[in-house]
Amino acid sequence: MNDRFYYQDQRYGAWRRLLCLGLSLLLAEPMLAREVIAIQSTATQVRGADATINQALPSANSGGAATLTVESNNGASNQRAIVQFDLSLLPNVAIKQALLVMHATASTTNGFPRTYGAYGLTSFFREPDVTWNTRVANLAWNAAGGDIGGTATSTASVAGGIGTSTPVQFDITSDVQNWYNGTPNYGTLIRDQAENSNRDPKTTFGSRNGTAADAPLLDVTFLQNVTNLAAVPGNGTVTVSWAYPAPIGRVNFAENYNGVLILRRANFPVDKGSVPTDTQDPAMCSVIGSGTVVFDNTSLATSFTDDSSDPCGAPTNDTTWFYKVFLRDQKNYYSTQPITNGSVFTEEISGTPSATATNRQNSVWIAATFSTTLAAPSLFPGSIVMAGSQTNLSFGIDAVTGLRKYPPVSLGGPVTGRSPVIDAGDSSLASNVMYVADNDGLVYAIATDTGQILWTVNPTTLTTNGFVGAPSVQVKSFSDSMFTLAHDLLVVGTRNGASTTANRIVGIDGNTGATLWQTIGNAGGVAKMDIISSSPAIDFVNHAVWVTSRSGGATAQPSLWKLNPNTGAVLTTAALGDTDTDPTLSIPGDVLFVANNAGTIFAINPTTAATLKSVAGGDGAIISFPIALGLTSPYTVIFSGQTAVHAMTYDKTANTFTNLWSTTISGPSAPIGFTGGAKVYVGSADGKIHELDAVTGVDGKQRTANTGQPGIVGDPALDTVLSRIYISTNDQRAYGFTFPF
Amino acid sequence: MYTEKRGPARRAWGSGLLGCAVLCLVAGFSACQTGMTSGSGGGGNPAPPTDATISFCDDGEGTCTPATSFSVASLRDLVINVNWENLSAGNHTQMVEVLQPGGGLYQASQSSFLVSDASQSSLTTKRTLPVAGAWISQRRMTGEWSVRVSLDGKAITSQTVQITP
Repeated sequence: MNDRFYYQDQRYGAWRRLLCLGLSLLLAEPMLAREVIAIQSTATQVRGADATINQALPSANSGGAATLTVESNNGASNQRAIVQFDLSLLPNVAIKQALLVMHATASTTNGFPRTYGAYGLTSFFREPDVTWNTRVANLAWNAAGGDIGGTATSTASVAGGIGTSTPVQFDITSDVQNWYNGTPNYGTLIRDQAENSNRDPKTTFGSRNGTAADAPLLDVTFLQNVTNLAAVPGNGTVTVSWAYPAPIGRVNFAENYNGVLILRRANFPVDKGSVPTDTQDPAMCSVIGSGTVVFDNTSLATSFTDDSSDPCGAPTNDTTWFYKVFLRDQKNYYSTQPITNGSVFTEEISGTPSATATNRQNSVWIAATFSTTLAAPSLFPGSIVMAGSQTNLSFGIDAVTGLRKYPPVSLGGPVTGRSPVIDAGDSSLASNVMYVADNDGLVYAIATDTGQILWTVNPTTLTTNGFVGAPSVQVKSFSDSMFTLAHDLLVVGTRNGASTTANRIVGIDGNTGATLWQTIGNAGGVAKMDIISSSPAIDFVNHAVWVTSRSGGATAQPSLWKLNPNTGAVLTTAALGDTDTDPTLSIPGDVLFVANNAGTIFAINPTTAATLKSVAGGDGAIISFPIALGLTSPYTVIFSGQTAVHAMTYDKTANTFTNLWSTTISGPSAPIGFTGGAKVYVGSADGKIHELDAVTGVDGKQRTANTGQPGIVGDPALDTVLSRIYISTNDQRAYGFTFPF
Repeated sequence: MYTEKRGPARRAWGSGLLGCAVLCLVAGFSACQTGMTSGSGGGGNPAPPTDATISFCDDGEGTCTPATSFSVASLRDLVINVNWENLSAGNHTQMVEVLQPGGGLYQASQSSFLVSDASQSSLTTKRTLPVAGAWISQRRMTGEWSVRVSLDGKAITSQTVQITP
């Protein structure tokens, strides 16, 4: 009897345990959506990295080692592993889960089991440089052993006596989601949660340079964004269309993409935090944050015409309507991420219907930049648009679609200048390359095809010397024999705000990042040098580099510098007063135009640096730079002051400036146009891009980017291959429009 | 018939599931409680909460005198000093977000630091925001700015600063 009951109890207990286990798993694991991919590190992944940092060898770099080690040792000999994944396969996705799998290949026995923690690193590092003390170039971690927070993103238990490859898994979903939401991806650090053990427990893991099957692996579950998003405005209508992406990874059972959910907002983009909740299907016309659900489709529709049949209200004419399009799957998982900071990267588009056909307008794409950015985007016309951000990121955007070419490149500091890009056919690196200088003093060469960082340097070796302006490049293949350096030359000026005298101009080898020369203010016979916020002008005709600076508030301190590009020697200077704008050469190189902060325009003789003629702009400080159009004198000089865009001619023979026109624009950006073009384009503080007639200055048409908060539109860039204009704004977005308007 | 036969068994399994779910929830809650208790120092007076104060000055001045309003015409760098108090020992991550007038994000920066022991629970971090020659001065982005600071993912404090025309 007792035996029988014992048997029944045992059987019942087994079932109960099984059910309990199932329910626990059900409670612990949310249903996962859509696509899954396992990204395993390899040595050939150009944006991946891993290394061990060793407290006992604090200056040793192990970037190329075949294994990674985590060790707890009370002899100041702790070891930590750093891993960074190349996520290039996943440029436009929303992350639902990310599991880091380290493969332990050996562990000692004393002191085990151990708990290891995975931490998101918070500082930029480079695999060839990283050590226990140093993260990149000569820069130390804030805390030796890696900059991390106090709490592990995830922990895992590791057994002792491991002799064969054993997976150790960490759930780092929140970190990876942050990487797709504007936080730089500096990788993950694995450490023992109880370091300084006197039993010296140590585990060896595979690295990306060792046995392939043992390399770190990231198992990612995600949804993609829609592709080919477009908006066509009509009379009281906006037609939004899109396409469905081909799967990148393995598709989860019964979780196919099956439609979209569209939020709409008038005048402003839908806030980044306005997103639907996974697994829920919101009602039509319901409000999600700042957006209204205007389209709720689960039948693979590829377009939506928003018109008078819209139960949520028709799009009224002459208002700009913004649409945020969430791709969804059969279980109502959306292309967004369930974290506080929202998902600004979800695809957006805008259209302005009008009864008058010529007043209809639409953006061709909208892309996230995650911070205020007002520099003109860099571009390879027809191919790629590069935009920096003040969250230490650099974006490579497909010029046609607006989608990211690859996940943003994580850098060490904010990027505020217009970084130069050099075509592979011209670059001495033989690579499509962009040179970036950041506010924290680092300079980078980035391959624009992949986002790979080719090199990083701290050229002045000082952390006080940040860069606000971008570098300029003397391209070797464009230069004559007077340019004697072997490679392309970068020139960039420092902006050390604490000094009005000791800023510097740096010459850097474009191939290696080596500092070739430094011209330091108030040292070695060089005059005092105030802050430099501009980008230099490369003068291929007169074999010089021109740099503008502030002048320490003094009238006699130089603010225009002419340097020898081969040596950095100061050839001559001029005292033009505080100058934050870029110097601009005429196309033949026979006149240099400089605009100072008092609003005066100077025509400079590029041979002597003498002022040929100056004229008061009469509209306060000049914005960013003047442009000089025309192949021969007289040149048309166009510039923005504080309240208007101005055009004047400069006749070199007569040595005269003549006013052409002035057009009032609210808080204008720098203007952009090209020789032979009929229009000039300028951003403004009213959220619009204005198209001015190049001859008369008439403000004929505008395009609305974002009129909210207020909407400040940055310096435009023109893509003459696609006839598109690109701008960044203070609403954390970049926009593309077609031109002429 | 089938339903009747299965009924008692399903109720029994249902009770088991319910009990198991309650058990799991209680276990999870207990674990959470344990963690919280452990984190507060266990038994003695609770540690005072981490606090921070934010102050501003102009790096262009030698003294960098704290102020709450600056003229965009003369401000070179807005120095953001965050003075942390009652930090626990260990690694911490600070996020400083600079919000422009209107509330949009202008710049965000994250940094980590190590507090080696509780006796060093005060610490000041410094972040420099370029103003002269940068967009703030060029595009006259004047008005009420604010700085928001969080520690280890938790919002701690914010402070406004005026940048005047």
